[in-house]
Amino acid sequence: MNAWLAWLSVLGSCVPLVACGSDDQGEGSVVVSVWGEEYIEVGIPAHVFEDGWSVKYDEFLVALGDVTVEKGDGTQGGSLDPLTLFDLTAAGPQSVGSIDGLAEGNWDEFGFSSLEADSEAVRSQSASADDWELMADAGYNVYVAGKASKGEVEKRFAWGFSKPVRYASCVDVRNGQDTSGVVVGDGAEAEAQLTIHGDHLFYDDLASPEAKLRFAVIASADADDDGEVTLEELGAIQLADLSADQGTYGVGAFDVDDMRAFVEAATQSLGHFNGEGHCRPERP
Amino acid sequence: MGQQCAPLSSTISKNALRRRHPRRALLVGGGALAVEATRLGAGLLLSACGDPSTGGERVVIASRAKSDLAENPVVDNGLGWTIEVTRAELALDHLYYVSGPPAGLAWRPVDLLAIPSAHAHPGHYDSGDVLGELDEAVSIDLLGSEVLLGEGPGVTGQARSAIVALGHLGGEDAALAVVLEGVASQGDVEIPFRAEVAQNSIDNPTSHLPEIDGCPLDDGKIESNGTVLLEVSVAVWLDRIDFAEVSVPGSGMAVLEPGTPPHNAFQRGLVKALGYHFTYSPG
Repeated sequence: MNAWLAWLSVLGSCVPLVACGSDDQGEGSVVVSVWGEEYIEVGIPAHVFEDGWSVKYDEFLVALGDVTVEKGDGTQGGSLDPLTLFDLTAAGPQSVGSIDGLAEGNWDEFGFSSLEADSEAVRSQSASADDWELMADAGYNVYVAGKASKGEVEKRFAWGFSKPVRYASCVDVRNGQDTSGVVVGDGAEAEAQLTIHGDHLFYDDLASPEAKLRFAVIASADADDDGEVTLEELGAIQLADLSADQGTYGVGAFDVDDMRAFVEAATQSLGHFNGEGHCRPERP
Repeated sequence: MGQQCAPLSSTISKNALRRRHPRRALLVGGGALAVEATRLGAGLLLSACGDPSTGGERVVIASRAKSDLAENPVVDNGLGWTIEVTRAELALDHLYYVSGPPAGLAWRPVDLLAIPSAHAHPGHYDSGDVLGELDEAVSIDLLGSEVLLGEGPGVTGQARSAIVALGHLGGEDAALAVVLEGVASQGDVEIPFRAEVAQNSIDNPTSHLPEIDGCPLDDGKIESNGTVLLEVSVAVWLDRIDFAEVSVPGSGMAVLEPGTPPHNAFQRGLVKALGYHFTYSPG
Protein backbone atom coordinates (compact mmCIF):
# COMPACT_ATOMS: atom_id res chain seq x y z
CA MET A 1 0.00 0.00 0.00
CA ASN A 2 2.80 2.36 0.92
CA ALA A 3 4.56 1.51 -2.31
CA TRP A 4 1.38 2.32 -4.19
CA LEU A 5 1.09 5.68 -2.47
CA ALA A 6 4.70 6.46 -3.26
CA TRP A 7 4.17 5.51 -6.88
CA LEU A 8 1.02 7.61 -7.11
CA SER A 9 2.88 10.52 -5.56
CA VAL A 10 5.59 10.29 -8.22
CA LEU A 11 2.97 9.95 -10.93
CA GLY A 12 1.10 12.96 -9.64
CA SER A 13 4.20 15.11 -9.58
CA CYS A 14 4.75 14.33 -13.26
CA VAL A 15 1.34 15.48 -14.39
CA PRO A 16 1.99 19.22 -14.25
CA LEU A 17 5.12 18.81 -16.36
CA VAL A 18 3.22 16.96 -19.04
CA ALA A 19 0.31 19.37 -18.95
CA CYS A 20 2.51 22.42 -19.30
CA GLY A 21 4.57 20.96 -22.10
CA SER A 22 8.32 20.97 -22.40
CA ASP A 23 11.03 21.90 -24.87
CA ASP A 24 11.21 18.29 -25.94
CA GLN A 25 7.55 18.10 -26.87
CA GLY A 26 6.92 17.40 -30.53
CA GLU A 27 4.57 19.15 -32.88
CA GLY A 28 2.20 18.09 -35.56
CA SER A 29 -0.66 19.29 -37.72
CA VAL A 30 -4.35 18.81 -38.22
CA VAL A 31 -5.30 18.58 -41.88
CA VAL A 32 -8.93 19.52 -42.40
CA SER A 33 -11.09 18.38 -45.30
CA VAL A 34 -14.79 18.31 -46.13
CA TRP A 35 -16.70 15.53 -47.84
CA GLY A 36 -20.32 14.90 -48.73
CA GLU A 37 -19.76 11.19 -49.30
CA GLU A 38 -21.53 9.18 -51.97
CA TYR A 39 -25.00 10.27 -50.88
CA ILE A 40 -24.24 13.83 -51.99
CA GLU A 41 -21.84 13.09 -54.83
CA VAL A 42 -23.73 10.20 -56.40
CA GLY A 43 -27.19 10.04 -54.84
CA ILE A 44 -29.28 8.42 -52.15
CA PRO A 45 -30.64 5.13 -53.49
CA ALA A 46 -34.23 3.99 -53.14
CA HIS A 47 -33.39 1.07 -50.90
CA VAL A 48 -32.37 3.32 -48.03
CA PHE A 49 -35.65 5.23 -48.19
CA GLU A 50 -38.58 3.76 -46.33
CA ASP A 51 -41.01 4.74 -49.08
CA GLY A 52 -39.13 3.83 -52.24
CA TRP A 53 -38.07 7.30 -53.33
CA SER A 54 -34.50 8.12 -54.30
CA VAL A 55 -32.69 11.47 -54.35
CA LYS A 56 -29.98 12.90 -56.59
CA TYR A 57 -28.40 16.21 -55.70
CA ASP A 58 -27.38 18.61 -58.47
CA GLU A 59 -25.99 21.14 -56.04
CA PHE A 60 -25.15 20.89 -52.37
CA LEU A 61 -23.65 24.20 -51.31
CA VAL A 62 -22.49 24.69 -47.77
CA ALA A 63 -20.62 27.56 -46.12
CA LEU A 64 -18.18 26.28 -43.51
CA GLY A 65 -15.69 28.02 -41.26
CA ASP A 66 -14.59 28.73 -37.72
CA VAL A 67 -12.79 25.39 -37.54
CA THR A 68 -11.16 25.28 -34.12
CA VAL A 69 -8.80 22.99 -32.27
CA GLU A 70 -8.67 23.45 -28.51
CA LYS A 71 -8.20 21.59 -25.31
CA GLY A 72 -10.97 21.10 -22.83
CA ASP A 73 -9.13 23.34 -20.37
CA GLY A 74 -9.42 26.23 -22.80
CA THR A 75 -5.94 26.04 -24.32
CA GLN A 76 -6.22 27.38 -27.87
CA GLY A 77 -4.56 25.30 -30.56
CA GLY A 78 -5.45 27.05 -33.77
CA SER A 79 -8.24 27.77 -36.17
CA LEU A 80 -9.29 28.11 -39.78
CA ASP A 81 -11.51 31.14 -39.65
CA PRO A 82 -12.57 32.10 -43.18
CA LEU A 83 -16.07 31.13 -44.14
CA THR A 84 -15.61 29.07 -47.27
CA LEU A 85 -18.21 27.96 -49.77
CA PHE A 86 -18.11 24.39 -51.08
CA ASP A 87 -20.23 22.48 -53.55
CA LEU A 88 -20.15 18.98 -52.16
CA THR A 89 -21.45 17.38 -55.35
CA ALA A 90 -17.89 17.80 -56.66
CA ALA A 91 -15.62 14.84 -56.05
CA GLY A 92 -14.18 14.91 -52.57
CA PRO A 93 -12.86 15.00 -49.98
CA GLN A 94 -12.03 18.66 -50.59
CA SER A 95 -9.29 20.48 -48.72
CA VAL A 96 -10.26 23.05 -46.10
CA GLY A 97 -6.81 23.80 -44.75
CA SER A 98 -4.23 22.84 -42.19
CA ILE A 99 -3.68 23.89 -38.59
CA ASP A 100 0.03 23.54 -37.90
CA GLY A 101 2.38 23.81 -34.97
CA LEU A 102 0.17 21.95 -32.54
CA ALA A 103 1.82 20.33 -29.56
CA GLU A 104 1.58 16.59 -29.75
CA GLY A 105 -1.19 15.05 -27.70
CA ASN A 106 -4.95 15.00 -27.58
CA TRP A 107 -6.71 18.21 -28.59
CA ASP A 108 -10.05 17.16 -27.31
CA GLU A 109 -12.23 20.05 -28.43
CA PHE A 110 -12.68 20.13 -32.20
CA GLY A 111 -15.50 22.10 -33.75
CA PHE A 112 -16.66 23.88 -36.87
CA SER A 113 -19.52 26.09 -37.98
CA SER A 114 -21.87 26.42 -40.88
CA LEU A 115 -22.65 30.11 -41.10
CA GLU A 116 -24.65 32.40 -43.34
CA ALA A 117 -22.57 33.42 -46.35
CA ASP A 118 -21.85 37.09 -46.97
CA SER A 119 -19.57 39.16 -49.17
CA GLU A 120 -16.57 38.12 -47.08
CA ALA A 121 -17.11 34.45 -47.78
CA VAL A 122 -14.36 32.67 -49.69
CA ARG A 123 -15.14 30.48 -52.69
CA SER A 124 -13.51 27.07 -52.98
CA GLN A 125 -12.66 25.59 -56.35
CA SER A 126 -15.80 23.48 -56.27
CA ALA A 127 -18.14 26.44 -56.03
CA SER A 128 -18.87 28.63 -59.03
CA ALA A 129 -19.14 32.41 -59.06
CA ASP A 130 -22.88 32.00 -59.50
CA ASP A 131 -22.99 29.75 -56.46
CA TRP A 132 -21.12 32.34 -54.45
CA GLU A 133 -23.49 35.09 -55.55
CA LEU A 134 -26.54 33.00 -54.73
CA MET A 135 -25.31 32.18 -51.24
CA ALA A 136 -23.88 35.58 -50.36
CA ASP A 137 -26.83 37.57 -51.68
CA ALA A 138 -29.38 35.48 -49.82
CA GLY A 139 -27.28 34.86 -46.73
CA TYR A 140 -27.66 31.10 -46.97
CA ASN A 141 -25.49 28.67 -45.05
CA VAL A 142 -26.86 25.69 -46.96
CA TYR A 143 -28.40 25.42 -50.40
CA VAL A 144 -29.50 22.17 -51.99
CA ALA A 145 -30.98 21.48 -55.40
CA GLY A 146 -31.83 18.18 -56.98
CA LYS A 147 -34.58 15.77 -57.75
CA ALA A 148 -36.32 12.87 -56.12
CA SER A 149 -37.69 9.97 -58.11
CA LYS A 150 -40.06 7.09 -57.62
CA GLY A 151 -41.07 5.12 -60.69
CA GLU A 152 -42.13 7.61 -63.32
CA VAL A 153 -42.68 10.40 -60.82
CA GLU A 154 -40.06 13.09 -60.33
CA LYS A 155 -40.04 16.01 -57.93
CA ARG A 156 -37.44 18.77 -58.11
CA PHE A 157 -36.37 20.91 -55.21
CA ALA A 158 -34.12 23.97 -54.78
CA TRP A 159 -34.01 25.07 -51.17
CA GLY A 160 -31.87 27.72 -49.51
CA PHE A 161 -31.47 27.79 -45.75
CA SER A 162 -30.27 30.43 -43.33
CA LYS A 163 -29.93 28.25 -40.24
CA PRO A 164 -26.42 28.75 -38.87
CA VAL A 165 -25.12 26.09 -36.55
CA ARG A 166 -21.97 25.33 -34.62
CA TYR A 167 -20.87 21.70 -34.47
CA ALA A 168 -18.96 21.52 -31.20
CA SER A 169 -17.05 18.91 -29.23
CA CYS A 170 -16.71 16.53 -32.14
CA VAL A 171 -16.06 12.89 -31.34
CA ASP A 172 -14.23 10.50 -33.66
CA VAL A 173 -15.82 7.07 -33.58
CA ARG A 174 -13.54 5.27 -35.99
CA ASN A 175 -11.92 1.99 -34.97
CA GLY A 176 -14.73 1.18 -32.61
CA GLN A 177 -13.83 3.68 -29.94
CA ASP A 178 -14.76 7.26 -29.12
CA THR A 179 -11.99 9.85 -29.22
CA SER A 180 -12.82 13.44 -28.38
CA GLY A 181 -11.24 15.82 -30.91
CA VAL A 182 -7.98 14.96 -32.60
CA VAL A 183 -4.77 13.27 -31.48
CA VAL A 184 -1.67 15.01 -32.82
CA GLY A 185 1.53 13.04 -33.18
CA ASP A 186 5.05 14.40 -33.44
CA GLY A 187 5.70 15.31 -37.08
CA ALA A 188 2.39 13.75 -38.09
CA GLU A 189 -0.72 15.01 -39.81
CA ALA A 190 -3.94 14.16 -38.00
CA GLU A 191 -7.02 13.89 -40.16
CA ALA A 192 -10.11 15.96 -39.43
CA GLN A 193 -12.85 15.52 -41.97
CA LEU A 194 -15.99 17.63 -41.81
CA THR A 195 -18.36 15.01 -43.10
CA ILE A 196 -21.71 16.27 -44.33
CA HIS A 197 -24.55 13.76 -44.29
CA GLY A 198 -26.89 14.61 -47.14
CA ASP A 199 -29.47 12.02 -46.12
CA HIS A 200 -30.36 13.82 -42.89
CA LEU A 201 -32.57 16.29 -44.74
CA PHE A 202 -35.01 13.46 -45.31
CA TYR A 203 -35.10 11.89 -41.85
CA ASP A 204 -38.62 11.60 -40.46
CA ASP A 205 -37.65 12.47 -36.89
CA LEU A 206 -35.54 15.26 -35.45
CA ALA A 207 -34.94 13.47 -32.17
CA SER A 208 -35.07 9.73 -32.58
CA PRO A 209 -31.91 7.81 -33.50
CA GLU A 210 -34.26 5.41 -35.26
CA ALA A 211 -35.43 8.00 -37.77
CA LYS A 212 -36.24 6.70 -41.24
CA LEU A 213 -35.58 8.30 -44.62
CA ARG A 214 -38.80 9.37 -46.30
CA PHE A 215 -39.74 11.62 -49.20
CA ALA A 216 -43.44 10.88 -49.74
CA VAL A 217 -44.65 13.65 -47.44
CA ILE A 218 -42.33 16.13 -49.13
CA ALA A 219 -43.52 15.00 -52.56
CA SER A 220 -47.13 15.45 -51.48
CA ALA A 221 -46.41 19.09 -50.72
CA ASP A 222 -46.29 19.93 -54.44
CA ALA A 223 -49.65 21.64 -54.27
CA ASP A 224 -49.58 23.10 -57.79
CA ASP A 225 -48.28 19.81 -59.18
CA ASP A 226 -45.67 21.57 -61.27
CA GLY A 227 -43.03 19.01 -60.39
CA GLU A 228 -41.15 21.27 -57.99
CA VAL A 229 -41.57 21.28 -54.22
CA THR A 230 -40.88 24.73 -52.85
CA LEU A 231 -40.18 25.68 -49.26
CA GLU A 232 -43.42 27.64 -49.28
CA GLU A 233 -45.31 24.50 -50.25
CA LEU A 234 -43.54 22.57 -47.51
CA GLY A 235 -44.65 25.24 -45.05
CA ALA A 236 -48.26 24.48 -45.89
CA ILE A 237 -47.92 20.90 -44.64
CA GLN A 238 -48.78 20.85 -40.96
CA LEU A 239 -47.22 18.01 -39.00
CA ALA A 240 -50.52 17.75 -37.15
CA ASP A 241 -52.15 16.65 -40.40
CA LEU A 242 -49.79 13.72 -40.88
CA SER A 243 -50.92 10.24 -39.95
CA ALA A 244 -48.68 7.83 -38.12
CA ASP A 245 -48.06 5.69 -41.20
CA GLN A 246 -46.58 8.71 -43.00
CA GLY A 247 -43.68 8.79 -40.53
CA THR A 248 -43.14 9.81 -36.96
CA TYR A 249 -42.05 13.37 -37.74
CA GLY A 250 -41.16 13.81 -34.11
CA VAL A 251 -39.65 17.16 -33.22
CA GLY A 252 -37.99 16.58 -29.86
CA ALA A 253 -37.41 19.95 -28.24
CA PHE A 254 -37.47 21.86 -31.52
CA ASP A 255 -40.32 24.32 -31.90
CA VAL A 256 -41.48 22.94 -35.21
CA ASP A 257 -45.03 22.60 -36.55
CA ASP A 258 -44.75 22.33 -40.33
CA MET A 259 -42.62 20.56 -42.90
CA ARG A 260 -40.65 23.63 -43.90
CA ALA A 261 -39.57 24.21 -40.33
CA PHE A 262 -38.92 20.49 -40.00
CA VAL A 263 -36.52 20.39 -42.96
CA GLU A 264 -34.89 23.63 -41.81
CA ALA A 265 -34.25 22.09 -38.41
CA ALA A 266 -32.86 18.98 -40.09
CA THR A 267 -30.17 21.08 -41.78
CA GLN A 268 -28.68 21.62 -38.34
CA SER A 269 -27.80 17.96 -38.03
CA LEU A 270 -25.89 17.63 -41.31
CA GLY A 271 -22.39 18.06 -39.85
CA HIS A 272 -20.37 15.08 -38.69
CA PHE A 273 -16.74 14.29 -38.00
CA ASN A 274 -14.50 11.80 -39.73
CA GLY A 275 -17.35 9.86 -41.25
CA GLU A 276 -19.84 8.74 -38.65
CA GLY A 277 -18.35 10.76 -35.77
CA HIS A 278 -20.68 13.17 -34.07
CA CYS A 279 -20.64 16.70 -32.75
CA ARG A 280 -22.96 18.69 -30.52
CA PRO A 281 -25.06 21.17 -32.52
CA GLU A 282 -25.24 24.60 -30.91
CA ARG A 283 -26.38 28.07 -31.73
CA PRO A 284 -23.24 29.78 -33.05
CA MET B 1 -26.09 17.43 1.57
CA GLY B 2 -26.28 13.99 0.10
CA GLN B 3 -24.93 10.91 1.71
CA GLN B 4 -21.99 8.92 0.38
CA CYS B 5 -22.89 6.62 -2.46
CA ALA B 6 -23.15 2.91 -1.87
CA PRO B 7 -24.01 0.16 -4.31
CA LEU B 8 -27.70 0.32 -4.99
CA SER B 9 -28.31 -3.33 -5.51
CA SER B 10 -31.92 -3.11 -4.43
CA THR B 11 -32.92 0.44 -5.13
CA ILE B 12 -36.37 1.61 -5.95
CA SER B 13 -34.95 2.60 -9.31
CA LYS B 14 -33.86 -0.86 -10.23
CA ASN B 15 -37.15 -2.31 -9.17
CA ALA B 16 -39.00 0.33 -11.07
CA LEU B 17 -36.98 -0.27 -14.17
CA ARG B 18 -37.46 -3.99 -13.91
CA ARG B 19 -41.17 -3.67 -13.36
CA ARG B 20 -42.00 -1.13 -16.01
CA HIS B 21 -39.26 -1.53 -18.54
CA PRO B 22 -38.19 -5.13 -18.77
CA ARG B 23 -35.68 -4.40 -21.51
CA ARG B 24 -33.92 -1.94 -19.26
CA ALA B 25 -34.00 -4.40 -16.41
CA LEU B 26 -31.96 -6.83 -18.45
CA LEU B 27 -29.18 -4.31 -18.45
CA VAL B 28 -29.41 -3.65 -14.78
CA GLY B 29 -28.92 -7.34 -14.36
CA GLY B 30 -25.78 -7.10 -16.43
CA GLY B 31 -27.15 -9.06 -19.28
CA ALA B 32 -28.34 -8.79 -22.79
CA LEU B 33 -26.70 -6.73 -25.44
CA ALA B 34 -29.75 -6.39 -27.59
CA VAL B 35 -31.01 -3.40 -25.70
CA GLU B 36 -31.01 0.16 -26.86
CA ALA B 37 -28.06 2.16 -25.65
CA THR B 38 -29.96 5.22 -24.55
CA ARG B 39 -31.71 3.32 -21.83
CA LEU B 40 -28.56 1.58 -20.72
CA GLY B 41 -27.57 4.37 -18.45
CA ALA B 42 -30.77 4.24 -16.46
CA GLY B 43 -29.92 1.23 -14.41
CA LEU B 44 -26.18 1.43 -14.66
CA LEU B 45 -25.64 4.80 -13.13
CA LEU B 46 -27.95 4.31 -10.25
CA SER B 47 -26.54 0.90 -9.55
CA ALA B 48 -22.95 2.06 -9.91
CA CYS B 49 -23.09 5.63 -8.79
CA GLY B 50 -19.53 5.59 -7.58
CA ASP B 51 -18.66 6.60 -11.11
CA PRO B 52 -16.33 9.56 -10.59
CA SER B 53 -17.88 11.48 -13.46
CA THR B 54 -21.03 11.90 -11.42
CA GLY B 55 -19.60 12.89 -8.09
CA GLY B 56 -21.22 9.81 -6.68
CA GLU B 57 -23.18 11.20 -3.79
CA ARG B 58 -26.71 10.10 -3.24
CA VAL B 59 -29.34 12.76 -2.79
CA VAL B 60 -33.09 13.02 -2.47
CA ILE B 61 -34.99 14.88 -5.14
CA ALA B 62 -38.51 16.14 -4.60
CA SER B 63 -40.65 16.53 -7.70
CA ARG B 64 -43.32 19.18 -8.02
CA ALA B 65 -45.62 20.15 -10.87
CA LYS B 66 -47.82 22.93 -12.10
CA SER B 67 -49.27 23.98 -15.44
CA ASP B 68 -49.90 27.14 -17.37
CA LEU B 69 -53.62 26.65 -16.80
CA ALA B 70 -53.32 27.27 -13.09
CA GLU B 71 -52.97 31.00 -13.65
CA ASN B 72 -55.12 31.27 -16.73
CA PRO B 73 -57.38 28.49 -18.03
CA VAL B 74 -57.95 30.36 -21.31
CA VAL B 75 -55.58 29.61 -24.18
CA ASP B 76 -55.36 31.34 -27.56
CA ASN B 77 -54.02 28.81 -30.01
CA GLY B 78 -52.00 29.28 -33.17
CA LEU B 79 -54.98 28.81 -35.46
CA GLY B 80 -57.12 31.56 -34.05
CA TRP B 81 -59.19 29.60 -31.54
CA THR B 82 -59.72 30.66 -27.95
CA ILE B 83 -60.02 27.67 -25.67
CA GLU B 84 -61.34 27.80 -22.13
CA VAL B 85 -60.25 24.65 -20.39
CA THR B 86 -62.64 23.30 -17.76
CA ARG B 87 -60.95 19.97 -17.02
CA ALA B 88 -57.37 18.87 -17.57
CA GLU B 89 -55.78 15.80 -16.04
CA LEU B 90 -52.45 14.18 -16.79
CA ALA B 91 -51.26 10.81 -15.52
CA LEU B 92 -47.56 10.29 -14.88
CA ASP B 93 -45.97 6.94 -14.34
CA HIS B 94 -42.39 8.01 -13.87
CA LEU B 95 -40.07 10.97 -14.33
CA TYR B 96 -36.38 10.60 -15.10
CA TYR B 97 -33.83 13.40 -14.79
CA VAL B 98 -30.92 12.59 -17.08
CA SER B 99 -27.54 13.91 -18.18
CA GLY B 100 -28.15 14.11 -21.94
CA PRO B 101 -28.95 17.54 -23.40
CA PRO B 102 -32.46 18.13 -24.79
CA ALA B 103 -33.25 17.03 -28.31
CA GLY B 104 -32.80 20.40 -29.93
CA LEU B 105 -30.23 23.01 -30.77
CA ALA B 106 -28.30 23.85 -27.62
CA TRP B 107 -27.08 27.22 -26.53
CA ARG B 108 -23.31 27.25 -26.43
CA PRO B 109 -22.43 26.18 -22.88
CA VAL B 110 -20.33 28.36 -20.64
CA ASP B 111 -18.59 25.35 -19.21
CA LEU B 112 -17.50 23.01 -21.97
CA LEU B 113 -16.19 20.54 -19.44
CA ALA B 114 -19.71 20.09 -18.15
CA ILE B 115 -20.87 18.47 -21.38
CA PRO B 116 -20.40 14.74 -21.74
CA SER B 117 -18.20 13.63 -24.61
CA ALA B 118 -20.60 10.96 -25.79
CA HIS B 119 -23.43 12.22 -27.93
CA ALA B 120 -25.92 10.71 -30.25
CA HIS B 121 -26.11 11.78 -33.87
CA PRO B 122 -26.32 15.56 -34.05
CA GLY B 123 -29.80 16.58 -33.06
CA HIS B 124 -30.77 13.09 -32.06
CA TYR B 125 -31.54 12.60 -28.44
CA ASP B 126 -29.28 10.60 -26.18
CA SER B 127 -30.59 10.50 -22.63
CA GLY B 128 -27.24 9.64 -21.10
CA ASP B 129 -27.32 8.68 -17.42
CA VAL B 130 -30.20 8.87 -14.99
CA LEU B 131 -29.38 11.25 -12.13
CA GLY B 132 -32.76 11.30 -10.45
CA GLU B 133 -36.27 10.11 -10.73
CA LEU B 134 -39.80 10.14 -9.47
CA ASP B 135 -41.06 6.61 -9.18
CA GLU B 136 -44.64 7.24 -8.22
CA ALA B 137 -47.67 7.00 -10.44
CA VAL B 138 -49.58 10.21 -9.95
CA SER B 139 -52.35 12.11 -11.66
CA ILE B 140 -52.16 15.86 -11.89
CA ASP B 141 -55.09 18.25 -11.99
CA LEU B 142 -53.60 20.78 -14.38
CA LEU B 143 -56.11 23.43 -13.41
CA GLY B 144 -54.98 23.23 -9.81
CA SER B 145 -52.12 24.96 -8.11
CA GLU B 146 -48.57 23.65 -7.83
CA VAL B 147 -48.38 20.25 -6.15
CA LEU B 148 -45.77 17.98 -4.65
CA LEU B 149 -45.65 14.76 -6.65
CA GLY B 150 -43.28 12.88 -4.38
CA GLU B 151 -39.64 12.26 -3.59
CA GLY B 152 -37.16 9.96 -5.23
CA PRO B 153 -33.51 8.98 -5.22
CA GLY B 154 -30.81 10.80 -7.14
CA VAL B 155 -27.09 11.24 -7.46
CA THR B 156 -25.00 14.37 -7.81
CA GLY B 157 -24.16 15.47 -11.33
CA GLN B 158 -25.39 17.66 -14.17
CA ALA B 159 -28.92 16.91 -15.31
CA ARG B 160 -29.85 18.50 -18.63
CA SER B 161 -33.09 16.93 -19.74
CA ALA B 162 -35.95 14.81 -18.52
CA ILE B 163 -38.11 11.93 -19.64
CA VAL B 164 -41.83 11.94 -18.90
CA ALA B 165 -43.32 8.44 -18.76
CA LEU B 166 -47.09 8.61 -19.01
CA GLY B 167 -49.36 6.62 -16.74
CA HIS B 168 -53.04 5.86 -16.36
CA LEU B 169 -55.78 8.06 -15.00
CA GLY B 170 -58.15 6.51 -12.50
CA GLY B 171 -61.73 5.31 -12.57
CA GLU B 172 -63.54 5.16 -15.87
CA ASP B 173 -60.61 6.96 -17.52
CA ALA B 174 -58.13 4.27 -16.51
CA ALA B 175 -57.06 3.64 -20.10
CA LEU B 176 -56.22 7.28 -20.62
CA ALA B 177 -53.02 9.20 -19.99
CA VAL B 178 -54.63 12.56 -20.43
CA VAL B 179 -58.10 14.01 -20.66
CA LEU B 180 -59.01 17.57 -21.39
CA GLU B 181 -62.39 19.27 -21.67
CA GLY B 182 -63.38 22.80 -22.48
CA VAL B 183 -64.98 25.16 -24.94
CA ALA B 184 -63.27 26.34 -28.10
CA SER B 185 -64.55 29.55 -29.59
CA GLN B 186 -63.89 31.62 -32.67
CA GLY B 187 -66.20 34.51 -33.51
CA ASP B 188 -69.73 33.34 -32.88
CA VAL B 189 -68.80 29.67 -32.96
CA GLU B 190 -68.53 27.82 -29.66
CA ILE B 191 -67.59 24.15 -29.54
CA PRO B 192 -67.70 22.30 -26.24
CA PHE B 193 -65.19 19.48 -26.62
CA ARG B 194 -63.42 16.61 -24.97
CA ALA B 195 -59.94 15.43 -25.97
CA GLU B 196 -58.33 12.32 -24.62
CA VAL B 197 -55.31 10.19 -25.36
CA ALA B 198 -55.02 6.53 -24.46
CA GLN B 199 -51.84 5.67 -22.62
CA ASN B 200 -51.10 2.77 -24.95
CA SER B 201 -51.38 4.97 -28.03
CA ILE B 202 -48.23 6.87 -27.09
CA ASP B 203 -45.26 5.18 -28.72
CA ASN B 204 -41.92 6.89 -28.34
CA PRO B 205 -40.14 6.30 -31.68
CA THR B 206 -36.92 5.37 -29.93
CA SER B 207 -37.87 3.49 -26.79
CA HIS B 208 -41.31 2.37 -27.98
CA LEU B 209 -42.55 3.19 -24.51
CA PRO B 210 -45.34 5.64 -23.62
CA GLU B 211 -42.98 8.46 -22.83
CA ILE B 212 -41.77 11.88 -23.98
CA ASP B 213 -38.02 12.27 -23.90
CA GLY B 214 -35.59 15.12 -24.42
CA CYS B 215 -37.57 17.61 -22.34
CA PRO B 216 -35.50 20.65 -21.35
CA LEU B 217 -34.23 20.77 -17.76
CA ASP B 218 -32.63 24.01 -16.56
CA ASP B 219 -30.20 24.71 -13.74
CA GLY B 220 -29.66 20.98 -13.33
CA LYS B 221 -26.39 20.95 -11.43
CA ILE B 222 -27.35 18.56 -8.66
CA GLU B 223 -25.03 18.97 -5.68
CA SER B 224 -27.41 18.29 -2.85
CA ASN B 225 -30.96 17.38 -2.04
CA GLY B 226 -33.27 19.52 -4.10
CA THR B 227 -36.49 19.97 -5.99
CA VAL B 228 -37.35 19.56 -9.64
CA LEU B 229 -40.34 21.58 -10.78
CA LEU B 230 -42.21 20.36 -13.86
CA GLU B 231 -44.14 23.05 -15.69
CA VAL B 232 -46.63 21.58 -18.14
CA SER B 233 -47.60 23.84 -21.02
CA VAL B 234 -51.09 22.82 -22.07
CA ALA B 235 -50.96 25.64 -24.61
CA VAL B 236 -48.44 23.51 -26.55
CA TRP B 237 -50.94 20.63 -26.67
CA LEU B 238 -53.69 22.88 -28.01
CA ASP B 239 -51.74 25.13 -30.31
CA ARG B 240 -52.30 23.36 -33.65
CA ILE B 241 -55.87 22.11 -33.22
CA ASP B 242 -58.24 23.47 -35.84
CA PHE B 243 -61.60 23.04 -34.18
CA ALA B 244 -63.31 23.80 -37.49
CA GLU B 245 -62.43 20.23 -38.42
CA VAL B 246 -64.09 18.75 -35.35
CA SER B 247 -67.34 16.90 -35.89
CA VAL B 248 -69.88 18.67 -33.72
CA PRO B 249 -72.83 16.61 -32.44
CA GLY B 250 -76.33 17.99 -32.09
CA SER B 251 -75.88 18.26 -28.37
CA GLY B 252 -73.21 17.62 -25.80
CA MET B 253 -69.48 17.75 -26.23
CA ALA B 254 -67.65 17.09 -29.46
CA VAL B 255 -65.07 14.39 -29.00
CA LEU B 256 -61.78 14.64 -30.84
CA GLU B 257 -61.75 11.27 -32.55
CA PRO B 258 -58.44 9.44 -32.88
CA GLY B 259 -57.16 9.47 -36.45
CA THR B 260 -58.72 12.81 -37.28
CA PRO B 261 -56.59 15.93 -37.84
CA PRO B 262 -57.79 17.64 -34.63
CA HIS B 263 -56.86 14.59 -32.54
CA ASN B 264 -53.56 14.16 -34.39
CA ALA B 265 -52.79 17.78 -33.57
CA PHE B 266 -53.64 17.24 -29.93
CA GLN B 267 -51.59 14.06 -29.65
CA ARG B 268 -48.60 15.60 -31.45
CA GLY B 269 -48.79 18.53 -29.06
CA LEU B 270 -48.93 16.16 -26.11
CA VAL B 271 -45.67 14.48 -27.11
CA LYS B 272 -43.77 17.69 -27.85
CA ALA B 273 -40.83 17.92 -25.50
CA LEU B 274 -41.28 21.68 -25.29
CA GLY B 275 -44.54 21.10 -23.46
CA TYR B 276 -42.64 19.92 -20.39
CA HIS B 277 -40.14 22.26 -18.84
CA PHE B 278 -38.15 21.21 -15.80
CA THR B 279 -36.11 23.30 -13.40
CA TYR B 280 -33.93 22.04 -10.57
CA SER B 281 -33.31 24.05 -7.45
CA PRO B 282 -31.31 22.98 -4.42
CA GLY B 283 -32.73 22.67 -0.97
